Amino acid sequence: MTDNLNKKLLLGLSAVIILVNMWVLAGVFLNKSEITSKVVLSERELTVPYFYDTENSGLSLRIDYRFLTNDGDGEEFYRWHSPKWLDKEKMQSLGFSEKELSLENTDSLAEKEVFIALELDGAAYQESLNKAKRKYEQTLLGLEQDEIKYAKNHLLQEEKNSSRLFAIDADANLDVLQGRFHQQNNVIITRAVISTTRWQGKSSTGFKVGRIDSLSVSHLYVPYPMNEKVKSLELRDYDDFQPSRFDVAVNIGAHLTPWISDITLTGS
Amino acid sequence: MDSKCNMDSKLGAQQRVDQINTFKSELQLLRDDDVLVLSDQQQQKLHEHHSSLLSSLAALYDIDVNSSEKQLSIGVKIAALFGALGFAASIFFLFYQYWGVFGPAMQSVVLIASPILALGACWFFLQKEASGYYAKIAAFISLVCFVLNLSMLGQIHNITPSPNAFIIWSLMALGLAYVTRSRLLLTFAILFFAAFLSARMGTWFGIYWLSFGERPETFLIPGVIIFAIGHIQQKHYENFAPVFRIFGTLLMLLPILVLSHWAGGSYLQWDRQTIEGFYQISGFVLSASLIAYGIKRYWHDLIKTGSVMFTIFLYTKLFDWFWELFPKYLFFMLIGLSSLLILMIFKRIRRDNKEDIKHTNTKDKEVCHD
Repeated sequence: MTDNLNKKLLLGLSAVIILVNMWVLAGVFLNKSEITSKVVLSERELTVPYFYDTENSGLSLRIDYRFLTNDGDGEEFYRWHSPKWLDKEKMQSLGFSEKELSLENTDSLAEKEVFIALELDGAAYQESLNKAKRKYEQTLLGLEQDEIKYAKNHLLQEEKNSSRLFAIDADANLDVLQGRFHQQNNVIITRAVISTTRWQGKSSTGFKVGRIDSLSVSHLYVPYPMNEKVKSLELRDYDDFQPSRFDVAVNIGAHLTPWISDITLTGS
Repeated sequence: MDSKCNMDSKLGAQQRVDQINTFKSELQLLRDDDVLVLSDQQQQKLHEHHSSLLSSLAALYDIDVNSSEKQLSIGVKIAALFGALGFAASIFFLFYQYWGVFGPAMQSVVLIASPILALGACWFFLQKEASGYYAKIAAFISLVCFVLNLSMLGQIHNITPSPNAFIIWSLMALGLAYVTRSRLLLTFAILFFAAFLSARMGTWFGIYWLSFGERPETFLIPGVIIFAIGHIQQKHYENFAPVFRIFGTLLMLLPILVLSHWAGGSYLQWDRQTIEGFYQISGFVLSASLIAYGIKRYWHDLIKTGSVMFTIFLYTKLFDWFWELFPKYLFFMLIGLSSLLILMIFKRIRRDNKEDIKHTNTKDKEVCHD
């Protein structure tokens, strides 16, 4: 290839780099130009890493969400379980076929990216908290010390540590889902990957049901200098029942992309 | 096969130089055996012709004019490869080490500027250094910076991941491969393209795009397309076609190898044994056909890749059938015997080839006598 052609090609590649970046940043700008919802999450919903990688100075907080299952009794956070509302009818409305939901179907890879509603400190969390309280009260009637200790720890965890962010609904159509929750300012809508599972807890329906594989954006990046505030905190063990130490103001934009707008330290 | 050398490219020039060196060695042997002794005048003329040809080729291209230069050149290539990989890894970790102490605006500027600066360095080295090794290293660094650019920009702004990044990276790697004639960059272009098409096909057939690796069948069509591109002989880029053929073959045969042992990843709605049996037979038939096709087209790259894959298919099947059933000495004896069988088949093919050449030479002689 001649020098002239090489030069043109390299200039073309530079133009590609600039155009692609402009496209991405324009998307970021458009997303931030309209705030569709705002929530204040705490350390309970945004988990700090269990250790800091010395080779990585960036910081991202994991979005910790839960859902109510048919099992109950503190089983809400196991990702392979099925949310109780993600039944056969809901899965069909999300676009899963009868064949994909059949127990005969050995194909375990049917999955779709859909819109999901996450409720902060709402009815679902209260139900989970009440369930933990009831369980503790029931165990107090017995004499099994281990069970009492386990139930007490579980209640403490529910009250102080566990995420209050609950997945409560999903839909393939964004407008429909937004319409369903437009009066609730504690509900945020985001994207998630849903797949089929045989695991249905206590009630078997003879069909596969749904499970939430992951949120499409599972971590929130903490920009500088806000990340310094979080990094100044001591690392905690996963079973450390201490109150949350910070509040994070999260905005959701026009493209459903979330971003952190502020972090406030709340602990002593 | 075309015996003429295309001297419009570095590869063609190198082939001509190798041909001259082989001719010189053979001429020396013929002289020692008193079969062919050139007169002093002929020797002088031949020497002048070759010297002038070698000088002009060496002036035009960065070629190895003798065997010791060739050995050194291999060393330089390996050093350049390690250099490129080392610098790429270093830049990757450098970004991660310090990106947390910059605000989003500064991060974006650094991420966008890095691949462009590396492109500038690539242009500079293309002008200053004929061999192109430094330019290749700069081009590879530019690609790594661009991959980091898009992936980190996505992380900083919490953007939902998209498979479209793969096609942009493929385009970038392809452009840089053509500028620097780098097969390493071409390989990345091919792999990014395969990842993009596979992810897109995955979403068309109902899976989330990040799960494309769990559906090996989605790599088959990219493999066929890349293999088909390997049929195009490109002037000045003769060494690119084998890369397309090798990766096209691998992208077709590796998914078949996986599916021949894991029916769970298949779209086919047959029972497990039928799917695995189908892909086992497909693997043997396709790899054998590719070897035959390679022999027909004189494509050594295809023959070698097809042979390796055929052998892997054979040995994994032997393992499946006999590892539990036979005592170990008998199993390994079976491996030895099957290797002998493959050896005999290849020797037979080689003999047939030699007979073909002999037959062609006899016909040439007859034509000369006429």
